[in-house]
Amino acid sequence: MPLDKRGLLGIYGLTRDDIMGILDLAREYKARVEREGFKHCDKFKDYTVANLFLEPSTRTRFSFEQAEKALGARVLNFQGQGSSMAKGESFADTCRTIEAIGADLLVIRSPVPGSQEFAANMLKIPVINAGDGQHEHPTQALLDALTMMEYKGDLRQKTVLRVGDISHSRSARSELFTMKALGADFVMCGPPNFVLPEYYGKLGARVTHDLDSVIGTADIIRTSRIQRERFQKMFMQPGEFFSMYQLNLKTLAKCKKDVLIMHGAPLRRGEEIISEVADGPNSAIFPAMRNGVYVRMALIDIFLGGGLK
Amino acid sequence: MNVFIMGALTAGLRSEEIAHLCELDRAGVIGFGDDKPLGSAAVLRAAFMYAKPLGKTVCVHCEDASLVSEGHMHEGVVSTILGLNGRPRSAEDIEVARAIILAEETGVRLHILHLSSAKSVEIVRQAKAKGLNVTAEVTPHHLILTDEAVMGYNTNAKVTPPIREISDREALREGLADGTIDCIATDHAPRCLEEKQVEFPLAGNGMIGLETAFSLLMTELVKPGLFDLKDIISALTVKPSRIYGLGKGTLIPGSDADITVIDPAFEWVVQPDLLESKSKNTPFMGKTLKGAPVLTMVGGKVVMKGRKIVA
Repeated sequence: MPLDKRGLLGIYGLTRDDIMGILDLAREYKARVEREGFKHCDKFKDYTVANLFLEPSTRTRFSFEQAEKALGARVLNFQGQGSSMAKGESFADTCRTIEAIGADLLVIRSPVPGSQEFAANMLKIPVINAGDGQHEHPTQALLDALTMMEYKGDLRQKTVLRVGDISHSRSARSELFTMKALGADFVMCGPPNFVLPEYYGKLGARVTHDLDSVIGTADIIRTSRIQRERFQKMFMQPGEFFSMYQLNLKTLAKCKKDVLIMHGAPLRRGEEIISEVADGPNSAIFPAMRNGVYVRMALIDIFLGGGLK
Repeated sequence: MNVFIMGALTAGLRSEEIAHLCELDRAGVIGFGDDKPLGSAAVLRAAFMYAKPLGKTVCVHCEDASLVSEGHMHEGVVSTILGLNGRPRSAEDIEVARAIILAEETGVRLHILHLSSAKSVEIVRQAKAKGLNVTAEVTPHHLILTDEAVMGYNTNAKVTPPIREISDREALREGLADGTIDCIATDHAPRCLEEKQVEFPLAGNGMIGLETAFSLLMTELVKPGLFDLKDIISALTVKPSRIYGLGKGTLIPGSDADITVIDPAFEWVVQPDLLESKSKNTPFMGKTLKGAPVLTMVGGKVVMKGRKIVA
């Protein structure tokens, strides 16, 4: 889907120029905040942004709220419990309600893939996807890309390795589309039943199940939490998964000395990653979170500022 | 309209006990089938054994329940892009093979509903080559669309078995051409707006097909020269009639005057107000079609004329 006035629904279909445009604006906001702090700004004081989060979230929700307030927008936060959705109101009617009471932009996190596209097709206000089931998490991929480029420059000469649970990961999917648009060599590595080579290969990823075969060539390694219930669904024992794909000192020793370690968080320390790696000198895990605010400021500016057709 | 009743194969469609097949038989059902994924091989085998002496056709919807329980569309590149759990081809292939093996063992008259995968066509082809009394059908949408129809989370393209890829579509067309697939059936499944105007994973399965079937087949298969019109008509009429022993679909003297008049030049654009169905859940909305039934007679009485139901 191209970047249009319906909002940011996913990365799939975006061009390199679309992505670089967002990241350039994010860099401008970053420079300003680093210079002046999150100083009060009333650029969008006459606008209302609603955050509809139907799944637990710490980073994404706070990061959007921080970005919205930093731009002076009025913020409506949806609480699942105590809402009419708890009384059986549909997602569609909840979205229509938010539009009717005057929101100018709707940020949605949902466990159901395609929710944002469904909402955007129904509403007149733009929608930003803050994660939809196993589909996409575009703002996460954008903040990752911004961080990767800060540390590694142009990604066209770089190998980016995504490790762990791929098939259930919305951020992995968004990252695949982002990295291919930006021209990186993108490798996906996980258990065979978690990364189906036939499908991801056709979408431009190199797929392997053997971490040792690729770890020494990666410039950037990105992992993620794996939900416990996934193992049961895939008929796999967690111990086998972690022994094969955990980022620990043994795996780090096989990496390039200046490899960048990234993780979308929440961290499950001792499972997919150990603290020595997460908190070590190669890690950009927490700086990436700060970049998330700038990326979201850029997107709010783009969709409220009317810079799009 | 002729409406015939299919009896359940298992009680409550639950795949736990055999339905009252003898009573259903006496009440006049034309065959038995649950039209949903079936349970254990033991239940299926027992139901087939029980149905065999009744001589009626047993229909099976072939999808292994354990492989499709969380799936919303064909498993492939499109489902990967959309982040939707898939229903793999193997779910159908396994079940087609299982049903054929049990039909061979029990001798039951087996009909495979709505084939969707290339390998399933091959399995049916092999069974027929062995001389087994098995028949199969395909829908217009599986003959015409691919899983790309789901892009944009189009709930009107959400059906089971799912619409698959070009290679499957080609195999289905070959199967229809060489007689592996006997007939075309719409799998007409009306859904109300509340069931389709929701997020894709929550949407009901199925699409309507009765009013678009002939026009689609004419436009997509006959006009481009892929099929002869007489073969398409045969697959829509006399062949399904034979599968269920209805004695219809023929114009020989003495048979029922069930007649459809086709205007091969009739051009129309699929629009909600042109459909007589109350439900409008079709992914073909807006499509221009050429060739359509313009008059239908049932038992000698005109029931549709000029694309409107008149009786």
